[in-house]
Amino acid sequence: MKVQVVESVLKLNDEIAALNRESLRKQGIFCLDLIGGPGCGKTALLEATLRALKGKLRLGVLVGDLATTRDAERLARWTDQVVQINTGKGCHLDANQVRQAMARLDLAKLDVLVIENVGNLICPVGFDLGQDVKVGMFSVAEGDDKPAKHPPLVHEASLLLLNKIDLLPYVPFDLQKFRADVRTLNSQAELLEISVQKEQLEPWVTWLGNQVKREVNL
Amino acid sequence: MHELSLAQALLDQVVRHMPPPGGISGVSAPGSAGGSGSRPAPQSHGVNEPRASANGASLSNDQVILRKVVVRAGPAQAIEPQAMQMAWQASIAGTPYAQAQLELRVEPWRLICTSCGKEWTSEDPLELCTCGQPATPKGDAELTLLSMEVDVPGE
Ligand SMILES: Nc1nc2c(ncn2[C@@H]2O[C@H](COP(=O)(O)OP(=O)(O)O)[C@@H](O)[C@H]2O)c(=O)[nH]1
Ligand SMILES: [Mg+2]
Ligand SMILES: [Zn+2]
Ligand SMILES: [Zn+2]
Repeated sequence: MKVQVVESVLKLNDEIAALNRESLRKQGIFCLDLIGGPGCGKTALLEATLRALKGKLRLGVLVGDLATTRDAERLARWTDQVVQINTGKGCHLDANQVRQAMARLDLAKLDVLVIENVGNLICPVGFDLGQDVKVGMFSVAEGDDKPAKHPPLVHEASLLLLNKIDLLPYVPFDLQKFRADVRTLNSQAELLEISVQKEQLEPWVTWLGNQVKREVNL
Repeated sequence: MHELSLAQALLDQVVRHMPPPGGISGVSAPGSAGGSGSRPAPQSHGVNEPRASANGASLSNDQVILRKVVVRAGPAQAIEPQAMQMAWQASIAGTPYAQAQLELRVEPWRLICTSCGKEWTSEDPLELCTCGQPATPKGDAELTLLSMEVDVPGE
């Protein structure tokens, strides 16, 4: 006997993600899921963003890591709205983990919620957390072939970041090739080239301001 | 291990959709009491965690037997078919569903040439068109349980 189903395997996750999205919408919070490999500069970007936008835009952060609260400690210097999620062996965040962590934030205090996903270019792509956009982050240090090797992330992201452009003179990295691969895989998404180290964050901050329909200057 | 959490979510879902023994006259489907449906976390990653929903079901002679599970994956789902098969085997081992086969249909990317408009499918989203120009890859990130094949006693 054949039983027809046709239902998402991640139905439970998707249902909780929808609840998250509703809670965030109600508070008028723009939410992004920041996805990138370990060490591409996700936490550094958030630290710099919090510092640059203090008093201009209210940011909260949920930060996922396999272990330790180090990233949350780094971010807590700039905001009290930060919650660390330790996933243990988990290679990505799921909507339920985000839901529980969201309960520890004061949503009424936020304009933007950034979810720093577990450092991984593969898993987080398929999991809806309730975000408005997924942001894919790469860095010059990882090499120019990463978009070609990780098409799902590039294809599904609404924004792509290339960090550590200060390293371009020092490492072999074909910027034209990187840009071409990104454009082929996703012609809709904007690609912003930044350096957290050199505080070259303008395109990113402007983009963020546009999302919340507010002019934010550095 | 992305696939392990997916396989476990899939098994929970399959258990929820198992028809009751003896068709509509049966009172409860295996695994439908407690367990997966009410479990708050949608997926768990622990390799050695006991699987309450699947292990909890008792085996008897009038048991509905799960033969096959058919799943479709969009090309943007980043699923590794071999890893998924292994994860499925690991998830069903020691459960009443241990003989169930997983049929995974991974969709290829649909490519549309940006220059001549030619359309084709490929596993490589960066494959160039025969005219030498790049194409736009289209595909979704869905993972869908399409159907299940079960043996119902007395049918
Ligand atoms: N050269 C350079 N290094 C950077 C830049 N941004 C971050 N880093 C360094 O990259 C390392 C990893 O950063 P981190 O924020 O922990 O990465 P995460 O794992 O993605 O959160 C740290 O040593 C940072 O100082 C950058 O723009 N240029
Ligand atoms: Mg980090
Ligand atoms: Zn994962
Ligand atoms: Zn062509």
